[in-house]
Amino acid sequence: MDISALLLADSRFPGGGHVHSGGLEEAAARAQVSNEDDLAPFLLGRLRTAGELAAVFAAAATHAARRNATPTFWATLDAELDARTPSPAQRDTSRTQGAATLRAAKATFAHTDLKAISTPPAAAKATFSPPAAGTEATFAPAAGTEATFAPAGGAEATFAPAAAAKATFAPAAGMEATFAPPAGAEATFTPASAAGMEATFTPAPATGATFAPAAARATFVPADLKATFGGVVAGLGARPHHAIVLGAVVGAAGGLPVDAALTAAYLSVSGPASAAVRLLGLDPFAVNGVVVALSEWMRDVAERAAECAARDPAELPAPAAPGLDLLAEAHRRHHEKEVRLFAS
Amino acid sequence: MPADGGHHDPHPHEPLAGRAFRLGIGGPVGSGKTALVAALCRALGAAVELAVVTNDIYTTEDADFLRAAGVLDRERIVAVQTGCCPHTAIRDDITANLDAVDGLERRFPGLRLVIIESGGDNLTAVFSRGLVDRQIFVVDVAGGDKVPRKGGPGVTTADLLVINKTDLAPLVGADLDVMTTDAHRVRKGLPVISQSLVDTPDAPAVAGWVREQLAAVAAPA
Repeated sequence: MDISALLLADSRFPGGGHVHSGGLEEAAARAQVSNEDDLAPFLLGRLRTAGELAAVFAAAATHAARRNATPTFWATLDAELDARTPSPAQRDTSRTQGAATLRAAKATFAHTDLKAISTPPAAAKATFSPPAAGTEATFAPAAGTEATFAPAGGAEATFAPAAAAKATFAPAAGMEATFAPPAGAEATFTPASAAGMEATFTPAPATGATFAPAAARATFVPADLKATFGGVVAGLGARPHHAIVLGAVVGAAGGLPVDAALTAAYLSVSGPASAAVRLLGLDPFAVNGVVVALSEWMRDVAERAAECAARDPAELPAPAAPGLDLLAEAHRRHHEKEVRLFAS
Repeated sequence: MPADGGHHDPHPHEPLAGRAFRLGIGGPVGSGKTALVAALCRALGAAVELAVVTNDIYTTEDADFLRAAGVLDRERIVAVQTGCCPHTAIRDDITANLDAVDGLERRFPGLRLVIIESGGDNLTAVFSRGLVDRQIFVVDVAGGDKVPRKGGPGVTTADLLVINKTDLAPLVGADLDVMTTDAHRVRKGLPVISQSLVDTPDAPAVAGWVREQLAAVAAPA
C-alpha cells in the first residue's frame, strides 16, 4: 500500500476529518446507536453504501491522476459524484472535507525543503554532489540521463534513476544508502567501504549491474511512479468532493486505485467509530475490534471499486443509503436548534 | 519589549498580507476567556474592525454569551464544531478554524482582527502557530496560585499570560505575589498582566498589548 494512502487514512492527518461523524452523532442522538453491538451494523451499512461510493470514486480518481486526466474529465467525475449524492448536507460536507484535505495535501506534498532534491531533465548528463556532509539527499534523474551521484560522508542517500539511465553511485563510508535502479538500467554501485555502511542492492530483472561488497540491504524505488503532484491537483476545482481528492492525491503520489479505494472504505468506518468513542464513551478497544471485524468487507469494497476504476464516469456504480441521507439532513437541521458537536 | 514579545518562533506563520491579524485566547475552563474577549470587543471594536471565532466543548454558549452581550454584531461571531476535541481543533488539525476565519474574511473584506477563543479544555492546549499570529493564555487566581509554577506550554510559551480575577485573591486565599513571581520565572521574560474585569471592565492593559501587536504588524521593522 502506498505511503500516501496510509497518510490520508491516519486520523492525525490534518485534513479536518476529526469534526465529522458520518451520521453517527445524529444516530446516537436518536438512540439508534448506543453501544458496540449497535455500532457494528451501523458501520457495515455505511461501508456498503456511502463507503463503497467513496471507494469507487477514489479509485476512479487515482486512475485519472495516473494517466494525467484533463480538467474536463475531473469536472465530469465531480458532476457524476454530485449526481450520486442526493442530500445537500452530504454534498456540502463532502466538498468541505475535500477542500480541507486538498489544502493539507498541497502543503504536505510540496514540503520537501528538508531534503536536497535534484531532478535533471531527460537525456542530460548530470553530476550531483550534495552541498555538505550530513545532508539527507535524494537524487532521481530522468530516463536517459547519464548520472553520477557522489554524496559526502555521513549523508543518508537515495539514488533512484529512471529507466535506461546509465548510473554510477559511489557513496562514502558510513553512509546509509539506497540504490534502486529499474529494469534496463546500466548501473554500478561502488560503496567506498562496507564498514559502517548499511546498504543493499536489489536490481530489477534485466539490469546490467555490478555490486561488490557484503553487508547489503536495498529498497527498489520504481522511478516511473514519480508523477508530478502539482500537475494533477491543478485539474481539480476549488471545492472538489472528498473521495476525488483522496484518489487524486494517492494517484499523484504514485499509489494504485486499490490503495485509494481501501483508504476511502476505511475512512467511511473509522470516522464514525472514533466519533462513537467520543460521544458515547464506548470502549476504544472494543470499537477498534468492530472496525477490524469489517476487514474482509473493506477489502471486498476496495477490490470491486478498483475493478471499475477505468470506466467512463457515467458508468460507475451508484450505491445509495437513504437512511444516512436523512440522518445528514436531520443533523444539519438540528444543529440550528440544539447543539451538535460534529459538523456532520 | 520587541514587537514579537521576545519570542523566537521556529514555525513562522503565513505572511499577513491581505488577511486579518489572528489572536488566540486560550486557558482553562472558567478562567475568564469569554469575558476577556467581550472586554476586548468593547475596548477595540470602535477603532478596529474585528470578528470572533469560538471553539466550545459542549455548547455554543460562549458565542451565545458574546451575541447576547451585544459587544459585536451577531454575524461577526462564529462558533466552530470541534468534534469533541477543541485542543485538536486549535492545535493538531486547525482546518475547522481556518475555514471559519476564511468565511469571516470573505464576508467582511475590511476585517483587521480575528479573535479565536479556545474551548478551554486543558492546561496544555496551545494554538498552532499556523492558526494564530499571537496568543494569550488566561489563568485565574481562583484556579489556584500554583498554576503558574506548574508551567506547561500555555503558561510558559504564550505571547502574553493574563492572571485574571485578581479581585478574588483575598477571598480564595491566593497569593498574587507568588503567582506573578512564579509566572515571570517560568516565562523567562515574556510579558505577564494581572487584571480584574470587576475593577477594570474594559481590560485596558491587555487591550493596550493587543494594540501594540496590531501596530507592529501595520509598520513592520
